[in-house]
Amino acid sequence: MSQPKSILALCRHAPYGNALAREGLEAVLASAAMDQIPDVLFINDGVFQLLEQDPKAIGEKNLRRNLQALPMFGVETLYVCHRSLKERGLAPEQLNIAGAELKLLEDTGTFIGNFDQVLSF
Amino acid sequence: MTLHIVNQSPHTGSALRDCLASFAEGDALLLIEDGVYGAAGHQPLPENNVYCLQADADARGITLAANVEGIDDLRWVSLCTEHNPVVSWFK
Repeated sequence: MSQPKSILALCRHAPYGNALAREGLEAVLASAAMDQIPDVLFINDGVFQLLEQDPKAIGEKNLRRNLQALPMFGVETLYVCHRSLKERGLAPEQLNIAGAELKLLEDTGTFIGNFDQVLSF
Repeated sequence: MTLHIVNQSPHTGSALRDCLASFAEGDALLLIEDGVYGAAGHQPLPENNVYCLQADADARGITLAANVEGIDDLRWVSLCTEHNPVVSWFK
């Protein structure tokens, strides 16, 4: 048996403006359900996914349910680009996903380079 | 080393800027489709390992900056085999 490949899901889009944020999380959950647990990096506008949200008034389902499902599926560490937070005026304390550890990354380039495969959302 | 592929114009989206913010030493950048608008030398690009699909540049009338290497599909395939992972910045 060959070693399983390491997979990174690169989540770089804000929620609700388009389907990419939701599709990314769904792909992560689907992979994890098949015992291929990817790492997840929130970067660029993707860091907005980690804020508290209330999208009822725009007729969208809250993305937080998907986020909170991640630890239950074995994705317990969520990587977050620190530079992206700073650029958007966000503080790490504003982000909170129950059951998940948020790890701030300074050097995203080296981090990304360590994976076998990268899925972009 | 990572191969980053960008297919969006730097004037419409943040794909190129986002990509370069996550660029590591020794990585390569390939500009394809509307991404070739970033190859004309008006955008800051890495000094080395920057490639552009020549057919896409020709189709759009873009002349490549001096440090950008125009390549064909075969070379694209070999770049994909020489690098790991391959990261798409497509939106």
